[in-house]
Amino acid sequence: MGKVTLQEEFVELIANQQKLIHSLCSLYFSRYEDRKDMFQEIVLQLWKSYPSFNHQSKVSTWIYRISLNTVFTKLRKEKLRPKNEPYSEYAYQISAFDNSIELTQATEELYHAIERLADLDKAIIMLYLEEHSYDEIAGILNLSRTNVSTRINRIKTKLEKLLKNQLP
Amino acid sequence: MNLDELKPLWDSYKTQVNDESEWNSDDIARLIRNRPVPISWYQKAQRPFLHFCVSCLLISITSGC
Repeated sequence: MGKVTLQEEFVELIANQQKLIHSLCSLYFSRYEDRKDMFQEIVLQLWKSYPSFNHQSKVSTWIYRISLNTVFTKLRKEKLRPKNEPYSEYAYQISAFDNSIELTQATEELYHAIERLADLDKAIIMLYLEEHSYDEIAGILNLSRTNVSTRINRIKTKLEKLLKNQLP
Repeated sequence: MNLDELKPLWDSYKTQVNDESEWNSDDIARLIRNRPVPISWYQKAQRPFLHFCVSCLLISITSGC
């Protein structure tokens, strides 16, 4: 049997873990094209840093750290984009979440509730739901443990209100 | 609100999003194939180091050391 190359190893890893990246992209980008671009950008960033990944931390922790850095860099660039560009005008005209993803009612409610959180809070609650410890979340997002703990309590209260309001 | 209430919903959300957006291994391989293979730092330093050594050699020869 031939030796597994670095590229084959990486492809297998991403194929198995892509669920994390897709769910992250869908929380930050409502348009299908933006989500697709972001997924590609994240995979390329992961590929770039793969040789230096020493497997000492969990694979999911490494993926989240790189992915969130890539997403936040992109969001910062988007915020710097002048509002009068044609792209921005078009972006305002389209619906909040295009129909390329079919969600059940319950999951759509959760999506809309999380979507209304601030960018950093979205990342925190996502990592929390992925059962990362407070220390891991603090490490991934460069925050203090106390800050993470306080924010999680606030986010949970906010989510509870948002989900209650969405119920009929 | 505790984690137990939201966790199944989140897992279901992830699965639904993934089902709609999943890439197969060939697509992922195609995406990274056109990119240069990451080069380790020591490989990047090889050529400047060679130039430095050659320069030192030439200086030592021309100065009569």
